[in-house]
Amino acid sequence: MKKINTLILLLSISQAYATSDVETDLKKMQLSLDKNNPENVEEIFDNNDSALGKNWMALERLALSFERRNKFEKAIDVYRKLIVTFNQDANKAIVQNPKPLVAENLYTTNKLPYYYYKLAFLNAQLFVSSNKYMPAPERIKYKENAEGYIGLLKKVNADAGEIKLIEDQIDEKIKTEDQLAYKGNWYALMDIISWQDRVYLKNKATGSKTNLLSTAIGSSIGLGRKWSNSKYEFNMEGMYSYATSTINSEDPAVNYIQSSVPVSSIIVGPGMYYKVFSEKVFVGVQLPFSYRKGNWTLPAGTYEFENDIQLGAGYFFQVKFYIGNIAVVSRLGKIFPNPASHWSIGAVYDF
Amino acid sequence: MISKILMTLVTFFCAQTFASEVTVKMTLSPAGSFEAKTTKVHGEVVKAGEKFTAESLWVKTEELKTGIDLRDEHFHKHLNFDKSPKITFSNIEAIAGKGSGTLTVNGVSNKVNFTYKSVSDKKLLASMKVKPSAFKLKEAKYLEIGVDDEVEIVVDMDVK
Amino acid sequence: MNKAASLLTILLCSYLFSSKAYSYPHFISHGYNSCITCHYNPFGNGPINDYGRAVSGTAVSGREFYDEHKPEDLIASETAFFFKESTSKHFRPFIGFRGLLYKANLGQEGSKTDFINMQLDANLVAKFGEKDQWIMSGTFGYAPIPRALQNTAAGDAMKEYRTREHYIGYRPKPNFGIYFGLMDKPFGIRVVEHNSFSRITPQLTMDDQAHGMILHYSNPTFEAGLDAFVGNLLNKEDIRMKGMSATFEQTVFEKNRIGASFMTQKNTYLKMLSTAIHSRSQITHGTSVLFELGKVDKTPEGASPKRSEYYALLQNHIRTNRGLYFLNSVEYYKNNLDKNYRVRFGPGLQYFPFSKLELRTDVYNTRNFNQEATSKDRWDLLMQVHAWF
Repeated sequence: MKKINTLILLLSISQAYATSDVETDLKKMQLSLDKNNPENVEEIFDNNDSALGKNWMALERLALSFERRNKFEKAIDVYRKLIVTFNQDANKAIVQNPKPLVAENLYTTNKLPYYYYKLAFLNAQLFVSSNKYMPAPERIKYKENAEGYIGLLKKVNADAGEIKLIEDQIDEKIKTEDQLAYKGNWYALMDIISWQDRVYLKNKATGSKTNLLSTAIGSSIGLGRKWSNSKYEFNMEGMYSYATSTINSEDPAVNYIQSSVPVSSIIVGPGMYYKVFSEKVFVGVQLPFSYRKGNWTLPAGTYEFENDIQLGAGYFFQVKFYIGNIAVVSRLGKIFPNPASHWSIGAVYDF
Repeated sequence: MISKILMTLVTFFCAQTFASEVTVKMTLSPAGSFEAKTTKVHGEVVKAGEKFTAESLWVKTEELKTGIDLRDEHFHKHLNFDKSPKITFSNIEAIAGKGSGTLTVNGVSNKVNFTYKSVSDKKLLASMKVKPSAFKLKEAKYLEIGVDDEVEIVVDMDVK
Repeated sequence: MNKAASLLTILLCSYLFSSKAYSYPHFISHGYNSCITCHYNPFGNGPINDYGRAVSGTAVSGREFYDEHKPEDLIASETAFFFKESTSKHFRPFIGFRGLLYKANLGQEGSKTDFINMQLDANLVAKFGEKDQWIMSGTFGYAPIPRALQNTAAGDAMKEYRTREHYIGYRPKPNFGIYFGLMDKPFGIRVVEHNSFSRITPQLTMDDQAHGMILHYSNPTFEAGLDAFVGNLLNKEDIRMKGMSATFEQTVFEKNRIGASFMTQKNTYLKMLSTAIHSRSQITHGTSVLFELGKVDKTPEGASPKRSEYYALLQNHIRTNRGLYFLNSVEYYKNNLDKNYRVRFGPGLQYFPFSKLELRTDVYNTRNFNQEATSKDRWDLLMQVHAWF
């Protein structure tokens, strides 16, 4: 009998000692959080995890310490453990109940709304901070988990504003990702275009060559396909230009001049725009490849033209800004071997 | 409970990807104007038949941006954002192009009437004119350029 | 009567040092659709007021050269004259300088490089009244003789040190004002590029100010100006351009203004009738588009035929970052007596590293279109530094 009593006494003392251990540890954990030393909290927990792991106050503090160190996944694990270990029945009732619980505000009676909020928030943070290097199933898992806990928050009559904040973060992330995805569409363009050509007038009899300079101005129409996201636009376009030109000899000793000469060209090529300054303003470059033909008249005698038909390539710098679905585009550049600049100003319509 | 929200926002024709937007338009004296806007609008508008309602729509004062950092700072301070971080429009009801609700700015609430139009089945556009002085806001002035005591609030809102 | 005499006396005595700043109508992109918000002159140009200085430092200029923690309010206060906020309610001094490196006809034989001191002047604004209804502004300083007039009688008569703006204004109400003095004529878009066809054709360049009376009216969506002028009284009588001009602007679709202008003026040698339409639009914050289309009929006295000149300007400003703008201008000019017309492309960069400094570089490509001859393109390079206090 005496031995049994001694055993009971020893057990009581050790129980009391263990309880006071947990209380002390809880105080230490709280003090570490207050002093902004969250890493200490995990250390204290680890040193007495068998006892602290059964205490919901310790687990809450541990979860908070993980949160503050941005170890969201670990924090999620702890909050889940809090639900499963201490609130399983109540959680089951909420989950299985198809309708929102409007009878009371559960915040006043248990911790579930708080845990649901934390889980919604932390999963949302993991989704929002995800990038293209995170596997898609993982990203989707965080999003769906966040949405699931948001659903539970609505059932427990949580503050609509707080729910909205989390939903907005998720929506913002989805929107940003959507904006980074490339989308394709067709567009038409029309512009006023001008360039200068170098044509050579060759005297077949003597072999001498005279430089002719032709200045053309006209209009063009074109079609293109573009692929764009919120930052860049890549396109491929082709356009047909019809212009009239005045051409004369650059050598004052040679009298050759002709005006209102029809000149046509086809320009195709890829281009790109960078639109980081604004959603409506784009700057970029295009690499044009051109085929140009002019109907200049040969003078009487044994003459021929060189370069009256020309293939060329070059570059344009281009600026585009949108007013509605229509954009004003201006380009300035050069197509080699033309001796001068090539410019255009016009409008683009997106289909 | 689903809050009923009524507010229509308008601003920005075309190319806006955000669902909801609030714009506050201010006129300067002697001349000029500027706008403060935000797309972070909280709350919901619900349609029941021809009637639109909303329990509460709100924006955070600090989310309203004018496009110039210093002007943002002055604007937020003027609205006492530290003491009144939210601008709320509550108990909103609207039908047949007109509606009313309670606007709370700077901790002061006033009943305000507005007009609206349905841009589509899912979108409303509403506008109202209010006097800052009615919300106990002091006259706004910076380096002799003042803000008129009438501003227009325009709301572009999704409808549930 | 007494008031009129006082006004006249003040006008005659208002010959003070003053500085000439330029206007930036593309700042509609920052939500400022009227020049009077930032300038004492309601149509822009001339010294900027305290608010305009603060805007220049906090919205227009960059802040890369400031400590990242420096408050915007402090930056705004340092935009005052010589970095010190004024303790005087009534006086505002201003000093400005513009220098230009000009390389004409790039790549061609005979291409020259010049450095031109375009402007170095001082200004004083005096303002009185409970709401600063009374404004007096005077500018004096160095201004080069225009190149076209150098070594001519008219150029010889000009002084290199002169005033290009001085006036007295009274604004009985915030939206209405009347001004007397030497000012630029309100017409079209007052772009800063005085070599633009839109400025040269109707004769509204850096030395085309006139003495006169200007009425200004504005409300949130409409603005108007009327100017009756007698020419620059500092010029000889026979070359003074006398006449009137009117300009109107209406806000449409919130962030756009469309306008129309009219001007008739004449001197002993030439009669001019100018009309124009224009628009100024904000595309996004910091980005704008300006457009102007005009016609000027010039009738010389004597046997010379009347000619009609046409011009167009399309200019956009794109804000890439705070303080840095990319510009692009496309201009057109035609004279009906010639068979040619001209198109000019002008991309450029404008950088405000901090308040009180502007750096700008432009490249102009001008092409002539002529049925009777072709000519090579002309390329010009302009690099400008603008500093003010």
